[in-house]
Amino acid sequence: MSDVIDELDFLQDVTPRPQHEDGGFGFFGLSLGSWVLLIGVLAVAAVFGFALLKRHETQPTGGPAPDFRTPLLNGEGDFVLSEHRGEVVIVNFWASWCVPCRREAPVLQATWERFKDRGVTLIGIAHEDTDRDSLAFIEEFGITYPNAPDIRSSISAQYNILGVPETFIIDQDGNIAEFIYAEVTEERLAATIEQLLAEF
Amino acid sequence: MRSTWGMFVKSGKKLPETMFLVLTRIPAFCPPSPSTGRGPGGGVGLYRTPTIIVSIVLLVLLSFASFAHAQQRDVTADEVNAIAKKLYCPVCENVPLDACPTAACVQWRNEIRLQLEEGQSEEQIIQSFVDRFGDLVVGTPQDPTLRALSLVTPVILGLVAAVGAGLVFMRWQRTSTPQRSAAVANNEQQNDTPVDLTDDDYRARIERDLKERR
Repeated sequence: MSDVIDELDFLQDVTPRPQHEDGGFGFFGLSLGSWVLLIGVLAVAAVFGFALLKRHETQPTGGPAPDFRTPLLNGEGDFVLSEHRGEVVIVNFWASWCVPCRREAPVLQATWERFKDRGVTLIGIAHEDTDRDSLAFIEEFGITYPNAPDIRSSISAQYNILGVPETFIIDQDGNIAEFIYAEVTEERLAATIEQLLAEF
Repeated sequence: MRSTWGMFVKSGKKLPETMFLVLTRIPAFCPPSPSTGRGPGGGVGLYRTPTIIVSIVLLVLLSFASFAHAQQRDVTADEVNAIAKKLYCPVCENVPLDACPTAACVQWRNEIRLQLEEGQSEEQIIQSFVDRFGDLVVGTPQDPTLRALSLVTPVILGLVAAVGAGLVFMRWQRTSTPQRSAAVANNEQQNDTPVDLTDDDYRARIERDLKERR
């Protein structure tokens, strides 16, 4: 048997064939179709992977609060978070179509009236809400603390909010002291504010 | 005056008709009585200065109201939905605005209606939503990296596929031409070659067959 094989020269030829002979680019032994498929799969995986990572990002519960500048709904200039260092700032995300926000509005207004002269600022951010409806909501509840639209939903994106209402309490150094992922109560707000005012 | 305006609202009469009704009730605009020479209010028509001023003010106001009425057009639900179909719900995922039952979407559709009534075009309305709420309303990711990836990936895939297809086509053309020529030449050669009658085995078989037949 081995004699027969010895006589057949082509079986002795162990020189590897160049890959491009069967339609490949010749890179790492992959054909053109494989390369297209591989690039496609990698690109799609990158998009979905990144989206998945972003989805798992949660609201910040500590550290420096993301700074933002936004025009006020009443047209009286802009609100810049970093300009309120040294104050306790309550950032409340709300929307006129949100039912818990309607229950929360009087609580926030009461808190604002109670603490506004003690170095506390409250800013309402209207999330995914039209200006008309936001202004109607403000008028309906007699809200006097500043409110601003979330232009291009950029503030919501910075704070990774998932819905409304959501509230962040920021201390005098600009760090997030507490994140409230629910309807706020005056007692809870007051307790945190008093604590921050006492510590400062 | 209020009762006439109320009549207009209740009866659904058109504004010019109502204006006529209102004006004929204003003494200054009524013709004087042929017998007394005085208007229905007891005065002498245009010589009653306060009435004239009030009437002119009313006329101007009605003109503005008429102009505003003419500017505002009736918007159908179909027109609103045609635009809403191109936008996405702000709080649900991948739900077109026209098919979304949430309160937020109801408000957004109402906003579209109001903007249409103000005379804005479809492009202007969609742009206003993008400017106000971000690219997510038109289905583009909000995150800049993700947006870039999702926008660039299909283009890259398309380019890679096009280049790949071009290379395959060029290689196929290059290799198939000589092969086809060789095949044609081979075929022609086979057809032209006469039967080799000098082959001994072949001749022997033919002769054997012929003998058996005899």
